Amino acid sequence: MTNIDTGMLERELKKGAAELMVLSIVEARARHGYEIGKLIESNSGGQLKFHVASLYPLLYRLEERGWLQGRWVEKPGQRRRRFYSLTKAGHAALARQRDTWKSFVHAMSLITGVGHA
Amino acid sequence: MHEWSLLVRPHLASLQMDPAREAEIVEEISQHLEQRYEELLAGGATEDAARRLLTQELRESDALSAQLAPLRQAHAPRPIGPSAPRGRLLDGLWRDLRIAVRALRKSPGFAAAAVLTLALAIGANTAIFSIVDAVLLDPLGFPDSDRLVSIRATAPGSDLPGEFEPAGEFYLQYKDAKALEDLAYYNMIQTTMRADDNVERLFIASVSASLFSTLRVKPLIGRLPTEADETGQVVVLSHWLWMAWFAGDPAVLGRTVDISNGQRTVIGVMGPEFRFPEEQAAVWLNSRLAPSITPGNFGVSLVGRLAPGADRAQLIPELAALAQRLPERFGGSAAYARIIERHQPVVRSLEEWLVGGVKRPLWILMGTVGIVLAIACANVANLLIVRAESRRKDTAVRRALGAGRAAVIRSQIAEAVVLATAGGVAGLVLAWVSLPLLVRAAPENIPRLGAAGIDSAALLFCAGVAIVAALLSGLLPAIRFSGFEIADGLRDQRGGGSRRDRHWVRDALVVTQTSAALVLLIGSGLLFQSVRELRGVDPGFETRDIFTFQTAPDFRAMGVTDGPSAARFHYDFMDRLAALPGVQSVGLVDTLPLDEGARLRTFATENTGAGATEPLLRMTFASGDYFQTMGIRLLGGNYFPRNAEPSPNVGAIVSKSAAETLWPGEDPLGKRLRPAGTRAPVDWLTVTGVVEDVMLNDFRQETPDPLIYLPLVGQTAASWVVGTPAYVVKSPRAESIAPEIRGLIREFAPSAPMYRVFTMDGLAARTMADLSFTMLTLAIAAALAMILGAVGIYGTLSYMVSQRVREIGIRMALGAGASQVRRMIVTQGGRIVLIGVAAGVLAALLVTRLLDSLLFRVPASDALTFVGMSVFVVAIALLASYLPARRASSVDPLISLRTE
Repeated sequence: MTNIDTGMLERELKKGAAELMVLSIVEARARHGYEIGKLIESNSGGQLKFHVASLYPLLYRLEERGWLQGRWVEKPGQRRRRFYSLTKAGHAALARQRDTWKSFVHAMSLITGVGHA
Repeated sequence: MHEWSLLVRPHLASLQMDPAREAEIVEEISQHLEQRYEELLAGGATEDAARRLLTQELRESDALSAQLAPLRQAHAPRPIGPSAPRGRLLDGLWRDLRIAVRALRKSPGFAAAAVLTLALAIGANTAIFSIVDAVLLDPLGFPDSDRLVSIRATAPGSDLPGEFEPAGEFYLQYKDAKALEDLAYYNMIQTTMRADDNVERLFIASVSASLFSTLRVKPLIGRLPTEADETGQVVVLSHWLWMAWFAGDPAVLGRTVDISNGQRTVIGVMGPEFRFPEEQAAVWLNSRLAPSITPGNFGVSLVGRLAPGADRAQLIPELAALAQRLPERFGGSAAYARIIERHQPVVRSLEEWLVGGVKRPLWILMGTVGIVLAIACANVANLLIVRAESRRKDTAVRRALGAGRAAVIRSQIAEAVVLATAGGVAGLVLAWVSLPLLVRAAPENIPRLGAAGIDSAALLFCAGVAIVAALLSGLLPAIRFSGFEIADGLRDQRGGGSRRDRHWVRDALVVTQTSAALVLLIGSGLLFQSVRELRGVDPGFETRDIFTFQTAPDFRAMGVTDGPSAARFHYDFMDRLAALPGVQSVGLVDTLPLDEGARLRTFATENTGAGATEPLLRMTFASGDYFQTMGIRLLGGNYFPRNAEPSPNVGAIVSKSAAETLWPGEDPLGKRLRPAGTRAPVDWLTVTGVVEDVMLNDFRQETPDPLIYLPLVGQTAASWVVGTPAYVVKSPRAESIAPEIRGLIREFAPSAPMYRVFTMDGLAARTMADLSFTMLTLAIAAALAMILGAVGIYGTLSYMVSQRVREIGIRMALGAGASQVRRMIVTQGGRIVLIGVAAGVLAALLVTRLLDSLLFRVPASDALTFVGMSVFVVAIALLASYLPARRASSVDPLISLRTE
């Protein structure tokens, strides 16, 4: 991925892959929205950035779909924050999407010759 | 945090989100933005740049709302359920209520004060309402009862002054009036009734058969009397007597009972709701008038049913014309003819006649508790305003976040609704507890009072009052604090001076409270003075340590047949009474003052020539140590001697005013008089004693009734028989002697009932029951009002002081002394209170006129009461302002300036 195609990539890839990224990030443990955004950004080496305007609608969509569960958590001396964790259905969906993504990436690399051939 | 939410909120405005969910999203995204903002600052961005960047990110091509729009939660369905109707104002009311409950739980002191205030007011209103509901709203309960009329009479300028009940011949004459559909007569008598082992003195209604058709009532079982039934032959039982004596056995029909020594057949039983003309009516005895009736026996009550379409204005002239023909149809004395000549019928609606007397006191009470409710609402409104002021900023933020004015009003009212609901429930409990006490304290003459109870109507009323209370106490502060400018609300309140514009509402509430409390205080003050005046009245007899009762032995069985045998019985019985331990003296009187009064009778003297008007006087029989026992002073001559033998020389004792009426300016002793208008002429009686006047009916009488006392036995054995007089017993044990006397009666006349058992003190209290009851309730209401008012003043000033701590600090730093500061606060409070007092005095001048009929020797605008109560209110108000004032003067300038 290069910076040249960022605009297109962000829109297209996010549309298809954003869900997968979010699900993967909360797979290990529950995280709050800001953390999720930060992790996507840092894990992608700064390539991928989610602004609030797209991150939260995505979280709420996954929540409505029953893959994520948001829960307010209060810690002493801190403001309460909403933590998102993977539900059972979320785990299953994540596994499915990983498979799909793998085959997709595999197919893409075969066609485009990009990646480790 | 708030700043960010201000940014976020508008992006969600186009969506239809559940408010709770929306708030969560705003919170979550704001947190995100804040964290990002701090991160940007840490990365070296300027505040402005960071803010700009975030605003941009958020606005990014409307992404937030566009992306949220497809979500289900962006189209929140309208909540379902009674708590959330469709109207905008009521959206989310349920949520507001829950929030209100939570908020109130956090300030239990405030909540308790408000709930208690409302509970007192709502409880008082509910209790009085249930009485008014029972007594006034549907007092009769007969079909088309608005067409029922009571027909009475006046004859101005005749021997019968004032209003009086007509006589039997009026019934016969009026019966065919065109404006009347039906007419009936009734007469309450007290007599002895016997059935099986039951013997009791009961109230018997002697009624025409037409009574039941006139009132349009049907029996529960059996039948009603008809015109074919002989007079005095058949009776209809009241429901309560049927239950008490016959255990509700339907087999009672056809049985005979003994009433006034006559056998009567039971033909029917009425339902429990039929209690005409009074609660006490035990049975209805059929009565039929002979066409050859002796006219002039006044005292028969008439009740008629207007013909359809007819009204009272039509009926009165018709009856007047019919009455004028009475002497020509029935004959009668010259005195009778004179009465008829001046006679005018008095027609009132039956309802007015039966409950008219208690209507006014009851409506006064209702108004009174209404005032208490207004004060309570003002208090709670005041508390809520103070609360709302402390939340100005919150409210401003909510408005800024897009909450509509309606939503803000709604959430403010939610607290009032929660408070009023709790107050309503507590008030209901209060009413339930206090109603029986109130009913017990109420005068006996209130009809249908026994029917008062916390029924569905009272429940509805209580709920209604609670809703009104919620609106009254919640709407004002809610509107007041929903309309201010957002910027104004968000601005810091570090001003030094008070915000005058916001105080006027609370000031107005304090003025209202003060004036309302003053009105009630003046009212109860006037009644209190009336009671004191009445207590100070000398009725001409004593009331202390006097026990009185009546008994009705079976005289036939005891061989008592005439005057002398009755007298012997009474003397024996009085001797036995006098022998009881602790009894100082014993006497008897045929009709007791304050209970039965005395009958009217025309008397002739040797001065009254033929054809002259014989004066109408009161008459009774007295014997034993009646005058000594009652403390009625002997002004001349002697008391009656103990005598059971007929004698041509029997004397009479006259009261002072009777002597002045009969022989003005002369010495009555030795003068002669005799009852006039009796069938067999009575011989002359010589006046052997003159006694002090006594008040026969109540203590309000301004002029005493002239009264003639006759002894137990007349000139012949058949002159008169005194059968069931009232015995009076003077004893320091008057309150507790009843059981011993009951024992004595059982020994003397086993089957005789003991009834009309009183102490004279008790009778005196009964005559003042109307007044005492109104005074009691008004005093309770006034006390409530005063306490609530004082709390209101205290609250307002306390709050004012807390708002002005800084100003006070500056003043004190500039050299103002503690006393100056105190004076300033007290003056501020005093000014508001004085306006309230002025308004209260004006209102009281109008309102106390309603009390006029209850007042005694106290003018409705009694200056002393007005001034005294005003001073009292001002004093209480100053006391209430002193505490906040003292707190203000103890302000430490340094601390007060620093804390802001």
